[in-house]
Amino acid sequence: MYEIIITDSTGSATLPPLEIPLTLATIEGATDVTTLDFNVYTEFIVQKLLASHTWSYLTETQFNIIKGYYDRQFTLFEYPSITITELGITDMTARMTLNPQTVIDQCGTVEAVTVSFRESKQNP
Amino acid sequence: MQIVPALFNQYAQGNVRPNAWGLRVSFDKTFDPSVTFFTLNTSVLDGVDVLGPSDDNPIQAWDYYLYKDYSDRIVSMSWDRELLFPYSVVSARADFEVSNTDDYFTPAGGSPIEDYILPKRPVRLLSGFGNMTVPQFVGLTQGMPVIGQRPKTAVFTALDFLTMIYEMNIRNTIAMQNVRTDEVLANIFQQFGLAPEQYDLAKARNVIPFLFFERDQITAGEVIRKLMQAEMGMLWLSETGIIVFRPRLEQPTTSSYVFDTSSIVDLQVSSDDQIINQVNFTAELREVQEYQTVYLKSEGGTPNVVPANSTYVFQADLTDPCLTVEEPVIGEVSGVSWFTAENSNGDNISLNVSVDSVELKTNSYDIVFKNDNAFPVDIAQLELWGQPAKVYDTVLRTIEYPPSIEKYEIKPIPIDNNFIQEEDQMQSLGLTILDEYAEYASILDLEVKGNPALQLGDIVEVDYKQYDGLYRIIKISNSLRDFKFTQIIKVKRYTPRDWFTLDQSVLNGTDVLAP
Repeated sequence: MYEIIITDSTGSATLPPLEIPLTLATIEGATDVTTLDFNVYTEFIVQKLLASHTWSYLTETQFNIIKGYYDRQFTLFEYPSITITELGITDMTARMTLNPQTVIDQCGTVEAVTVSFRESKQNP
Repeated sequence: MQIVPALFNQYAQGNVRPNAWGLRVSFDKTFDPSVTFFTLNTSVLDGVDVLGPSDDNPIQAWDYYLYKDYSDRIVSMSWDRELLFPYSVVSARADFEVSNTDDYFTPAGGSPIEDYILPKRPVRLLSGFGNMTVPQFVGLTQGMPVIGQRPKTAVFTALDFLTMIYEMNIRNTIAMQNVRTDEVLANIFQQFGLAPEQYDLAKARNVIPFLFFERDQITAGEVIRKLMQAEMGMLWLSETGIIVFRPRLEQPTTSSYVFDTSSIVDLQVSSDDQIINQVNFTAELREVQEYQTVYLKSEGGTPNVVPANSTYVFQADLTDPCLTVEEPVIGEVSGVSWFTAENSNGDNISLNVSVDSVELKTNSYDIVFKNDNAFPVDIAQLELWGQPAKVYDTVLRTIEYPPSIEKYEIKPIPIDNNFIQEEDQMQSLGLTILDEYAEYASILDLEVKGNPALQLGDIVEVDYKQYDGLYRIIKISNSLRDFKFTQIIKVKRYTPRDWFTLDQSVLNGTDVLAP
C-alpha cells in the first residue's frame, strides 16, 4: 500500500492513505536549442521530481497534520522530506505546497486537499 | 584550446549536454600554507601548486588562497574575454548571481562571512560537462555585491587580475635601451610583485631603441597597451591564472574546432565599420646619444639656496628624456657631472655640501643638495652629463589596400605609437591589419553549440554558406542561466600563411615573408 511519510525537524508522520491518482512528474532543468539546420540539442542541468496527490476528503485532524508540516516551512525555515517506499523515494527534501482549505461541514471536514512536493535541496 | 578528456568533447558535441559549473571564492583571503609554488611544465594545472610568493600585494599569488566552493548557490553566471583591438591585450570580466535566501552574502546580515564581504575578493569560475570542469576565469570582485530583496540573490562583478594591473600606476621609473617587448613586460610585472613563474612571455619581435616611464605618472595599462599595439601579439591572463604573451606569428595556426549548421545557433556579420583599409602611422624616432651635457647652469643665474644645516631640491629641466644622468660631484671637472657652491659673499665652498639623493624623471633630474654648514650656500654652477634620447625623425606612413578603398571608401585607423621605430615594423603591422580587416564579413558573431575549452586566439573552421573558412576567436562570451549554457564567439577571418623560414624555405617558393 502506497503511503507518504513526511518528516521535518519536529518529527515524522504518515499521511492519510493515498487515493488514486498519485501523480509523479519529472521537471526538466533543460532547454532545447535550435540550430541553423533546424535540428535541436538540449542544454541539460538536472531533473527533479514533482509528486502531488489529492485526497477527496480529510478530517480536520488529518488536515491539520498536513498543514502543520506546510506551515513549519516558514517557521523552521527548512523544507520537509518525504519517503514513499514503494516508489523508491527515500528522505527526498521537497518544497511543499498546499491548496486552499475548503471546509464542507460542521465537523471541519476538508474537501479536495491537494499536496505537492517539489524535490529540492536543503540549504545549510 | 584547453586540453580536455575525449569524453568532455563528446559531451560538448552530443545531443544532450550535461552542463557543469563551479564558483570558488576566497572571501576571507586566507592563505593555504600547504601549497607550493607553480613550476611551468612541471606542476599540474588546477593542481595545488601556486603561482608565486605573496607579500602584502593583493594582486599576487591568486592561487595561494583557500577557496570555498559556492557552486550550489549559483543562480546564473556570465563571463567574457575579449582581445581589445588594436592593442592586442585581453580583458576578462565575470558576473555571477548567487542564492541569498539566508542573507549569507548580505553585508552586516549576520552571516559567518559578513566581515569579509568586501571588494577585491579572489574568484574562480569553472565550466564544463558531467563531472569535468575547466577553469574559465581568475579575478577579483569589484565593489560590493548588489543585494536583491525580491529575488533574494546577490550579484557580484569581477575583473581579471591583468585588468587590475592595467589600472595601477607604474611604481618604479623605467629607463631601458634596445629592449624587446617581453623584457619590458617582465620589468612591469616584477614591479607589481609578480614572480617569473607567474608569467610566460615568449620572445617578442619588436625591439624598442629607448623607452622611459616615470613612476606614478602613467598607468601600467597605458604602457602595456602601446607595447602590445606595436607588437600586435597577444597578452592575456589565461584561464588558469598565468599571464601569457605570444608574438603574432606564434599563435595557433591550425583549426581546433569546426562549426557547421548543426552547431551554429545564430550568425551575424559585423557592420562595415569594422573594415580597415588604410593604416596611418605616426611615430617619433628617438635614439640614445653618447654621453654629453644635458643640463647647464652657469654662474649668475637664478639663485638656488640651500639653507644652513638643511636640504634643497634642485630641479634640473631636461630637454630630452635621458637613459642615464650621472650624479654630480662638487668641484668643476670636465667630462662628468659637477657643481659648485658659494656663500653669500661669493666665496667658493667645497666642504660640507653634498648630493643627498637624485631622481631621474621624464623631463627633469631632481637633485637633493645637503648643506651641513652653519650658513646658507648657493648652488652657483651645475653641469649634468648623461645619455639623452633625442628625436631624430618623425615618421608619417600610410599603408592602404586600394581594392578595399574602391569598394567601401576609405576606412582609416590612426596608429600613433613611438614604440614602432622601424620602417619594417610599420610595414609589417600595416599589412597584418589590412590582411585581416580590409574585406567585408571579416568578422562574424556566432552563437554556437559551445565548448568551454575554447580559448581566445583559437582558430576555428566555419562551414556555412559563403562564410566558409578559417577564423580566429577574438571574443568569447559565455553565460549559464535559465538551464542553458550560451556561448557567443566573435571571430575574425584568418588566412593561413606558410611563413618563410631561413634555411628551410625555398627562394621563390610558396612561403611568404612574415609581415
